[in-house]
Amino acid sequence: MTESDDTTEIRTDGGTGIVPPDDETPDWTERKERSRGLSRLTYEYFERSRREDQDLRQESDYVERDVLGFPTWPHETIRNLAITSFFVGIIILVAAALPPEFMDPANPNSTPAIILPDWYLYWSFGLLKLNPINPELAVLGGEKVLSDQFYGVAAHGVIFGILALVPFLNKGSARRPVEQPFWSAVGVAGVVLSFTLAALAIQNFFPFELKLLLTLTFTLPIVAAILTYAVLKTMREGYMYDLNKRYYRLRPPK
Amino acid sequence: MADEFMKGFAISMVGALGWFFFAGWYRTPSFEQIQQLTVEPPEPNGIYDAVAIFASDLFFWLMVLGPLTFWVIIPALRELRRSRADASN
Repeated sequence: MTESDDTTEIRTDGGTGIVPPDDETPDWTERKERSRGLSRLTYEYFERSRREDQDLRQESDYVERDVLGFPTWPHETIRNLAITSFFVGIIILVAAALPPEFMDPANPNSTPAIILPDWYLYWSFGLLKLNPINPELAVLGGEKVLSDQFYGVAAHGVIFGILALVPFLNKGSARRPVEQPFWSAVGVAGVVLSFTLAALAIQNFFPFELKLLLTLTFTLPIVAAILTYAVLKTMREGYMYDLNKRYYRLRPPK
Repeated sequence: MADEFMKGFAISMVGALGWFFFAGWYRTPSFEQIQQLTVEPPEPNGIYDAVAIFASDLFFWLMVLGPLTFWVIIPALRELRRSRADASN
């Protein structure tokens, strides 16, 4: 018994002073994420207010209960049933109001003039249509060494390679786009590129030259990225101002 | 502000659904062709057709103007009023 006489606190750590981490303890990643830049500033503001609330709570004699969620039955179940009924109702309503036409049965012996994948794969289909920018390595007889089809598949390799690299380049410490304008711009460029590639896949729908469409496919993402970067960079000051204003409105200086 | 977003969004969705129905009935000769919901409507056969064709326009503009009002015009007016109040103080 090495415990001193004046303390009545029960020691559960064996007297070593080493306490196992609980949910409140930030782990290594969280410490690292909050150690730099605007995300650190944000964290410090909210942490300071949280700490002040905690002190106030400990001073008061009001008994708090921890409510972690609502019970599955009946609360969650009835809510989910209501949402499900709403969407099923919309589906039935639309199906009844605009009944689908019954066309001729598909003829498996003839390929349609326009073939397209489902809409969410248009970007991938667009990558297969980059023929004009593929390098033309021609040898004897003018036959291409590497076919357009090969370049189309290789373009997928480039896209997936960049996607796989992103988590290694940016750890995702920002909670809001304004905290990291550059990476937000990269994300916006990616989203816009997926849309422009999809537009390239359905090129017949656009009433202008294919060359222009191909140019837009790769310039629009860059333009969108520059715009995003400029806007977010401009918003940073206002964001910090708002944080400060909110903090001092809730807790006016004494 | 979140309420203003929800109002505009709800109005837009109601307008979109109504436009989809009426334009699907009167402005879509076939769902297999490229131009849908925007084709010129046929000459109305009766009062019901005329009302429905008018309703397709009505719902379309509800879909466009509803969110424009709640997301752009009302916040802009509010900001304008606030900046005026700040300037006069």
